[in-house]
Amino acid sequence: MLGYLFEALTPFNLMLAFMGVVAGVTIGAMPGLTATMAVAVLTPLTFTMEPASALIMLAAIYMGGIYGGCFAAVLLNTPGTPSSIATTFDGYPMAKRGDGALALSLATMASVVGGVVGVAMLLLVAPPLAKVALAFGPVEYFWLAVLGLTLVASLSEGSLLKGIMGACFGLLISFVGSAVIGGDLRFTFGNPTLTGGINIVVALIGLFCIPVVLDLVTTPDPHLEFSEDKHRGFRLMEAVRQMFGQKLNLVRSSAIGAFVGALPAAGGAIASLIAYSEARRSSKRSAHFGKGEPGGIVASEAANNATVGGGFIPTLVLGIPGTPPDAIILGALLVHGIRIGPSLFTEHSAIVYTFIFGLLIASLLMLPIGLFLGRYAFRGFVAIPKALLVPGILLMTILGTYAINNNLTEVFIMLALGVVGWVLARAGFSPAPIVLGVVLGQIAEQGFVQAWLIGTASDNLLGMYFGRPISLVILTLIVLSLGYPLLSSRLKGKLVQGSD
Amino acid sequence: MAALGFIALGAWVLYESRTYTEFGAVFPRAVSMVMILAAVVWILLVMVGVGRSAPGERGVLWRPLTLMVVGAAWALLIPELGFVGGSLIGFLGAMVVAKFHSWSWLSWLGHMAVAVIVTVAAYALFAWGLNVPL
Amino acid sequence: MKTSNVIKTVGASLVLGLTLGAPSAQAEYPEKDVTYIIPFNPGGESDVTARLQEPPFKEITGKGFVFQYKTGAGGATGWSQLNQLPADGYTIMGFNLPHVILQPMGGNVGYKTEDLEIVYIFQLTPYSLNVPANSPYKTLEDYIDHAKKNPGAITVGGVGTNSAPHAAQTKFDHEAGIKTSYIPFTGTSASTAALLGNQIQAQWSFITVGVEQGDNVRMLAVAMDERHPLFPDVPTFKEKGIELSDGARRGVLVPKDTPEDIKKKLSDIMAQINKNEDFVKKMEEGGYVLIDVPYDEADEYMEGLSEDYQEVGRLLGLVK
Repeated sequence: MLGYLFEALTPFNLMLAFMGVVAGVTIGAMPGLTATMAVAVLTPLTFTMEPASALIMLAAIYMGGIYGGCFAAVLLNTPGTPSSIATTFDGYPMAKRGDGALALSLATMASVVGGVVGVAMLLLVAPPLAKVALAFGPVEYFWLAVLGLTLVASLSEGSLLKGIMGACFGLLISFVGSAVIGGDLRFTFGNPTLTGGINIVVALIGLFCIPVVLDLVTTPDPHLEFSEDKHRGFRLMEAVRQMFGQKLNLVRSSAIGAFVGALPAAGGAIASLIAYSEARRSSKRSAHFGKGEPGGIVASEAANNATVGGGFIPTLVLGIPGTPPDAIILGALLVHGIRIGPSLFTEHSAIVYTFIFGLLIASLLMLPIGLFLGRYAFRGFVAIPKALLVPGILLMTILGTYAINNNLTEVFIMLALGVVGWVLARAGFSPAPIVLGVVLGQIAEQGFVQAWLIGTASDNLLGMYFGRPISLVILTLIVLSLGYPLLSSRLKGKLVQGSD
Repeated sequence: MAALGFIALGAWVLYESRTYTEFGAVFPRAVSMVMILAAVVWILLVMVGVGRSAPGERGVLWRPLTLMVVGAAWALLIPELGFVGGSLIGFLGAMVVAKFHSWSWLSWLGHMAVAVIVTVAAYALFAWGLNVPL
Repeated sequence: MKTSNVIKTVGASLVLGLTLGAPSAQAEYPEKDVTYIIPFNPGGESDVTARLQEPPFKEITGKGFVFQYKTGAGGATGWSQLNQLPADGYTIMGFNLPHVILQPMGGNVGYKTEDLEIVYIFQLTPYSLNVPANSPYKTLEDYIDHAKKNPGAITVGGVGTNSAPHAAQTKFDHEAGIKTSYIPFTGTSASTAALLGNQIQAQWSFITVGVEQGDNVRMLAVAMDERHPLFPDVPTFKEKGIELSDGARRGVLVPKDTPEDIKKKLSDIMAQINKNEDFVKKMEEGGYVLIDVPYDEADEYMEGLSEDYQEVGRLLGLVK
């Protein structure tokens, strides 16, 4: 097996991995461009390469892309990819406080650890984990989606009720278009673009980014600044010290990320959210989460990079993609003439193992690249005057939205949602529940209706929803997460407290 | 206030979903009912005095509103003037809205230059690097 | 020079010029890369089969494809926007049957089947009825028997509603006189995952899944006229007395107003791609069956299919 490691370490492959990570990070960092898009767009470049090298490059782009999302999350309160939503909870407050460089360093190191753990799990426990992943059926996905929503509703700044309303609003947005089951067109007003539904990334950019931009012009204060002079330094040592204090958090979050990533169709967004929530629950400083607590960033970023390795578990073992970029990579494999599916490990083990080690290298490469970028990112970013920052962000969002489907109507949708998001934000509604509603809507609805159909077919409707072991575990978590805010502080006050 | 909006939205969704097939309607109905419920509870709690209302408005509002108009105009101008043209105008418009201090003409020049460079660079990246048809 | 020689020289150069010029006018298309729009997700079968066409396309024309995706509504988003795209021959779009026939039948999806201008239909993926390897159903008869005794109890997954697998399930149930419960999924991988995890008991899908999953999946039968060379042990539906020999077909569209000669040229290029050895090998290994329906035969072909699908549409409840 180690022979493949050396295979992966050839100068050519190393260079590919390096370029891949840089490309991925750059694209992932821009609001509007996601890791999925990065992989999709850069895949054709790899067709002329050897399969193993092509895969290494794609894996590097993917890993870098997921990591890159933290930059926009910390600096702009906009997740660069849906996987970074939870990073905004503490990343942005830290940046606002002047600790942005620290936040970025933490995010980088957490991402590296997460990535490595994810690959380790891929290498060591892929086949059994794949079997477990298969045990998740429609019901489990439904409850998982509900869990994600209740988590974000209870976590987000503001009251639980507002969070629930926001999540419901997000769900309704996800219904626009043709119904998952039944195919009827809902809420499309006869517009062909709406027939395709409201794209997740469009909603993400609109609801997170535009309100930030609008807020920027509300006051003349600078967007971000350093807290004190001494904090202009590298802050690497400080970040490393913090990391050592987060050992348990790191391992747990990475494990969660790898596992959730292994569930086909569940991705970084849910993984990072669950990891974040668990980190908060078990931390002694839980009251600080959401206000700029390093543990939150660590949890979110470790989890989301672990989903990369985890996502490849069903992909390589069964030929079933664990996350959307996996589907693209599978397609690329097919074009290279490699049969995917259970026979992949046996027929092409050389390619597979070289690829896995390539993933590992990419994860490790993120450390120097990320720290280097992070050091200058925060400093450079703070220096940009608002008069350039505002139009610059607008440019990126409009371009990014357009780039998704080459559709100008979607740009308008994005802007419109942005205005709505801004108004709601002023009323105390945080964007995270809404966006998660959009992200999880399809999974939730599909799971619900499919479970209903299967349950009716076997005459076991109630048992279907409530009788299965995995579902019960998830249900317990749901109840706990709903109960947590109620139990923790003053009952009524916490329920309806407006946001600050 | 927003809660009322949500109730209205929920009611509208329920209304619309009458025309949908059984499967297509069930989830929207369930979700909008939950939403209405949450909104009602919220309003009740506010009235009872337990909840605090939303934080007061801070900052001036004409700028964000103008920016929204600029944003819309930007998007509308792109098909007319091409990407670079429309974006340059949009960029400059947004820049002016975000300008809080007065500028010397040198400052103006510098900002315009950056505007042009950034817009063109972004166009290059997307049109050629990423193959997006603009 | 003597006049006759001058005339001969001029005449010769004219002829030479014309002969050189004429094929170059013909060979001008394509002068640049062609944008190939896929109305489904990247990495899916429609994407992969299209991408496999690129190397032979490059060989033949020297130009490549630029892939774009317009996803949504099971392909309808892309197809409804087809005729607004530039009609200069540099934009083409993939399409699937029976989607483009069944979808408009069911209601307003933004386009009508006749709106779509077909240049070539190049591939057929036959249906197969799959069960997990550990399923109690070892043969098609087992399946039918169980369904007869417990109507509606068997859960069968498939991609989409009113889609190809749904059509297959409807037709099969009708012919076999049974009732099974169709569970829609958003993609083949999703339904395969459910199948492998025993969340559903069977799956209406395509031979490609059987190829991919190998021993994890048992194909009860395939919808072909003769047994597939890769699976000599799997019977066809026809053998078992069920008239089901069909599958999903894929082809290429252009916007309506594309010039006639470009349409013909594209059709010819596609025909040549289908003969490219490498392409043929990769497709057949994946379980795809290559078919050739060029531009001039497309209309007739579609009419024939439409008639077949009318019946299916009625069974699905799309047509009253």
